[in-house]
Parts: sequence; structure tokens; C-alpha cells
Amino acid sequence: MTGDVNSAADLAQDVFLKAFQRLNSFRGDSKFSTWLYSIARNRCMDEMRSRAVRPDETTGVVLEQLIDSSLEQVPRTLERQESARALRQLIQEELDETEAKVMTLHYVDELPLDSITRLLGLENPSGAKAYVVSARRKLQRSVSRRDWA
Amino acid sequence: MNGAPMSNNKPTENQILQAAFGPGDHCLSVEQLEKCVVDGSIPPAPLAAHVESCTYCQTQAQLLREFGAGTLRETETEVVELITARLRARSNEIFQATKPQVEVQEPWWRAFWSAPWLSPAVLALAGILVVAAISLQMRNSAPSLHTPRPDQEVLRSNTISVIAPSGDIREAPDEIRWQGAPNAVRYEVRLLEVDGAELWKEETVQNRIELPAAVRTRVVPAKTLLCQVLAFDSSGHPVAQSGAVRFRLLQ
Repeated sequence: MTGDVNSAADLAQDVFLKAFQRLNSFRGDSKFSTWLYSIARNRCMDEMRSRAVRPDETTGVVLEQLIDSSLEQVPRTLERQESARALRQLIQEELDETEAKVMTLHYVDELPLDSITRLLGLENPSGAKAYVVSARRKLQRSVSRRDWA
Repeated sequence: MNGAPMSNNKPTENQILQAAFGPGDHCLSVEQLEKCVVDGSIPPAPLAAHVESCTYCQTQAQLLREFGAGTLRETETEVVELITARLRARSNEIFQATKPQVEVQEPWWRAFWSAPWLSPAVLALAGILVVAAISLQMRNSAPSLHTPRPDQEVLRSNTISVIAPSGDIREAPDEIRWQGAPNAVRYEVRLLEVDGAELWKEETVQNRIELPAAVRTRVVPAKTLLCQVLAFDSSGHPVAQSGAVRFRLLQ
């Protein structure tokens, strides 16, 4: 485990404290575990986002180093092709399940790559990084094949 | 986190990927995922078809499933046990230091520590999520404690109608508007997340209030937020309140 146990313990405490303080807002519309999950998820995501602006945050740098310059062209090209819609289609067709989940957790939930590696239990040497690179390469190839560039 | 600078108002690379992998109009809420996917019941055909083809919903469903299953990976066992032990050891300190909100329903929070869901296994579940989310060394300060706000627990039958924002909206709101309440001399406006976490609070004497730019940036596409208005009379007593009105910015 490469995470900081003390910080994790603090965060866990915070999650339970929030749950405790909001017990009256639990109306039984969902399972208690789902309600607790929502609180824990939001708290963790907030923490991740707040950490993103800290000077020692390196995830973005790491990712940039992994992407060669040609891959930068993928979204630029797609931007001209009503990118999001086209990209959704490509995602379904080209990416495997793990690649898609890694990309979702990284780009949407903004989780650091090493967190995603542990969250999904990835056991390959470079973890989530490899899936991000692989996914982007697949998307690039797909764009090239379709002559969108 | 990975945002590149904007140029010519064109979306950045990360914004494009975020939109493509992010939730759409038909994505399920956590509660719907629980009922339709995680519980194993058969969802209505349109929902099933959507989940089948939606990376975002599948990812969220997996996280929810794993949280519910509470399966510990071998490498996590020791850490989770440690966190669980720490939480248990500090339970009295934590919960006695934080008085529950007024008009406590005693069976609820007294049951908090004794209820079956607070078994070590459930503590471990939370530990999994927390530990998984923490990757780098972040020695933060102690967690912020939300102090109870007993003055706001007094409810009245009068209600306030929030005019805007409400429901699905196409642009981030600049302001919150509502219908005034009789005898009200000031209003307290709160913006909340769906789990009740407070994003912003402000007071005004008008029937509207502008959202600061910093708050508007928190209104992101596909994220449901709640706004609530509480009215006070000249003696400072609450005289009316709105419900928690949901709104969501469409992509």
C-alpha cells in the first residue's frame, strides 16, 4: 500500500462524522449503504480535487509525459467532428471495459492514476497509466482509419 | 487536475475527453443504479439498454458494487484493520465532541454505534474506498467539523417557492430567485449537494441573490444540486422555508 494511512484514517473519520451529522436526512429511499457510499464518494472526490491544485500534485505531469505529441491530435481532430458524440461512439467500439473505466475515473472523476490502479485492482506493472495510453492510442488509430484527420 | 489552458474558447483536450466519458442526460443516479443494477433486479428496457452501452454508468455501478461487497484485497487488509481500530478507539471522542442536530431522534443516533451496519465489516468498506482514493502523501489538517446549526432545525408550516433554478437547466444559473414570505425580513439561501453537503450559504433581504463566480463554477454539467431558502422575521425566528429544490445543468 503506497497511500498515507494517517490521511486515510482522517478521511474515513470525516466520512463517518458527516454520516452521523446527517442521519436525519436519510429517508430510507435507498439502502443505507448506498447513502453512506454517496457521502464517502463525494468526500473522497472533493479531497482528490482539492489536492489537484497542490504544488506536489504530479498526476497531470505524469500523464503528459506519457502522451506523445501525435496523440495530442486525437481530440483536436475530434473537436472538429462534434467531438463528444463521435468520441462516445469510438469509446464503445474500440476500448475494452477496463480502458473505458480507467478513462472515466481519470477524466471524469479526476482520480489520480495510482488511485485508479488500486481501486480497480490492476496488477500490470504500470497500472492505470498503461490503460490511459492504450486507450488514447486506440482512439487515435480509429480516427486515422476513418480518415477524419 | 489535468486541465490545459483554454485557447480561442475551444474546448481543451481534457474537456473533450471529460464530456465523452462523463454522464449524459440518461445516466442513472446512484439510487437508480442500486435498484436497477447492483441489486440484480431487471431494469426497465430503456435503462438496461442505456447501462449496457454507457461507460460512465458501468463504472459507477462497479464502484457501488465493490463498496457494497466489501471485498478486501490482500494488500489492504492490514491497513483497513488499522483504520477500523483507530475509528473505534476514537468513537467516543469524535461523537461526543459533535453534538447531534437539535431535536435528535434518539433511537437513530444512539443506534448509530450499536446498529448492525456499523460492524467492523462496514467500517472496512469505508476504509476500502478511502484508502483507494488516497494515493500520495497528504498530511492534511484535521477534518473540518461541521458545527450543528440548531437555529435552523425549527421548521414552520409556511413554505417558500423557489422560482429558479429548478429542474434541468441549460445554462449555469447566475442567481437564485424565490417568492417572498409574509413577515420575512431576511432570507438565508443555501446550495447543497444531494447528500446534504453545503456548498454555499448567504443571506439577503431581497427575493433573489446572485451566485458568486466561485460558486457558479461548482455547478457542473450533469451534477444535481439542491437550493434551499429559509426566511426569518425581524426577531430572527424562522418563519418559512422552501423545500430542497433540485436542479441540474445539462451537458
